[in-house]
Amino acid sequence: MTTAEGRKLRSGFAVAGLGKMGIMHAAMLSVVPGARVSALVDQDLKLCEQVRSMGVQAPQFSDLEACLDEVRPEGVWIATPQFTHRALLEACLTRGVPVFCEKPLAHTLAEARSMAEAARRHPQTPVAVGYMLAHNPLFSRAAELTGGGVLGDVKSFKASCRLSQVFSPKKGWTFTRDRAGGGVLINSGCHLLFVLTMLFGRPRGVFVRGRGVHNEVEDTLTAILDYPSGLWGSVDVTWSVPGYELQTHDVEIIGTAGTLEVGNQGLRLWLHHKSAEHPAGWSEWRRGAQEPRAAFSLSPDYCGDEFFLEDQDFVEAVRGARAPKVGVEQGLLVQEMLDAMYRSMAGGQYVELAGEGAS
Amino acid sequence: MTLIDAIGGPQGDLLGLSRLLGGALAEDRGEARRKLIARFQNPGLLRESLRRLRGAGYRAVLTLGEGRLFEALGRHPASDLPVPLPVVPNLQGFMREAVEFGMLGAGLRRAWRVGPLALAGLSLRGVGRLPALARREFPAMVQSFIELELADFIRYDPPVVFLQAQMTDLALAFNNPRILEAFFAAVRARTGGAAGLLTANFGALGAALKSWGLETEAVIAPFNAAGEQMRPDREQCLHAAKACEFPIWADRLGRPDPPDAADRSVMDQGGLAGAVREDQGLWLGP
Repeated sequence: MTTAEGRKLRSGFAVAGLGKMGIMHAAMLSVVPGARVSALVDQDLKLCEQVRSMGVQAPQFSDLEACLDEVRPEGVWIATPQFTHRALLEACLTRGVPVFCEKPLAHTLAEARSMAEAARRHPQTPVAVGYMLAHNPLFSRAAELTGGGVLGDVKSFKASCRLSQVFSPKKGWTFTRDRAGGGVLINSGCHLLFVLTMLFGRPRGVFVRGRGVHNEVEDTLTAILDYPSGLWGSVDVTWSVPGYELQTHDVEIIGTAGTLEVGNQGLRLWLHHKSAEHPAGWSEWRRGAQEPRAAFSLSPDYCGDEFFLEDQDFVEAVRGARAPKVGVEQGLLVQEMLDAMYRSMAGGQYVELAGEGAS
Repeated sequence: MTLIDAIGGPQGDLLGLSRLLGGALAEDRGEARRKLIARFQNPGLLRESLRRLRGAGYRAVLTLGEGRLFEALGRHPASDLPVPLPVVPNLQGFMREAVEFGMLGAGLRRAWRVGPLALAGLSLRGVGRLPALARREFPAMVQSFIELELADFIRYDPPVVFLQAQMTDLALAFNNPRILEAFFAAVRARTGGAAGLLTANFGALGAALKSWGLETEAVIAPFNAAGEQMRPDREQCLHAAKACEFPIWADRLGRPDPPDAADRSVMDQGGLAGAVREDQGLWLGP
């Protein structure tokens, strides 16, 4: 394939960053039809060796630019910590190489904006962001039902993201404000914020109280989001509660005609009166019974379908020269929400969103 | 005596504890499920449930190696309790401890738990793998990690040990038989039991095993009337199941309800041995 700038790329994809998510993407790329891993990149070459010993037959690099120039992959998965994303994305885009960037887009809004600018300068080069819940049909259906007026006037919502992970002071970049950008909200809760953008679009402003329980960064927070339509809702995010070995994302929406509850595995709709398509009372949908399903899953208990589908979507976007399902503008909108929420948390006041991301 | 005779309970079913001990709530996070998971934080209450279910005919329980389980089972095998069928490695438990104590800390805690004598034995057996371990070769790490975990289970003489689904599926994804060979070697080295595989991609497993020249002695994979998580699809999984010579149990994926007539019918069509039961009604009892 040839880039918009006339540079020739070779079949195959590079994976940069070989932590848990990098290995997951390398595995998915090995089973997505027609795709393959053509290079492994990590500053720690021992990690590259380890992934090669898992069965990935690909050359290894400690530097992404060297990989881009030597292997010329048709796309790159960036699965490194968020404070490294911008430089890696720009290195790819200047060479016309499509990028799949893991969430969140960056650790600061300024970096995310710079990345969005870079993507806009290369409109022919697909850039995807790893908000995999976009590929969960339950959240898409919830957005259709809510947007389609089945609930009547939507008045409020209650959203939560829970995980059992942090019960003592932690070390590592994930728990530092300067490199991660924050704590549980930016590292885990950003998936829930993405879901809220699917359901309700762009909020007007936020009021947030959050605090570290065990760490300098926030381990738990509560927020109120309000929207230009008059809708408002609460958001609770924590990684310091027991009973949630796997991360959950739940939203309960209250409208004048009924309520809707949606999470990773199930969707329930309750209507006061029957509608054109749904009976009065409860209707339920389960994730396992919904299309699309993945041809291969590495984690059926947590988003196994979604990890496959997002990688398949990016491969198809690259080869079909089309936009991926989640692009940089959606990633930027989540970043604007994160930025406003952190400013509100720091100042203790209501903060309006600054910015330009997709509405 | 066949493996099914040795471990199958009513309708051939096995008990399942992996998701209940690990806290992975799957789709159901209702009050009953919470109550059950809270109950199993207490080893005494867990033992009580295990004893009641052994009395009801359930001979074996599929489980991760968790401290609470070993406390519940006691130090010696007991005829009034089901025999544990280990699922190894306990990635979820390891990652939980790694977040708390770091990777090295989690590894040291694992090593500490098995005790100095068992650790010395493992070290002697693992000497030949030291160069591979120094290079962080994944199959060698898997084998050592599994041997370490099995040290906790040996006293119960498990008739079969299962490889955790993500490991099986990683081997399938990367087309790497060495991961499965490492597991089979660890089971051979540490137990007299059979070696089985958990997978979420049953349709891909048979062809892969055949092409690698490997054989498994049992499999646990999703089978249900709705075809949920049956990959690539229900029909191909049933077709593949019929051709298998090893027993297969249906993974219920943490469903809160027991298999219904439609599920049993699908299991019969595939010639399955039974289901793995994690449903709360069974575990909570009357």
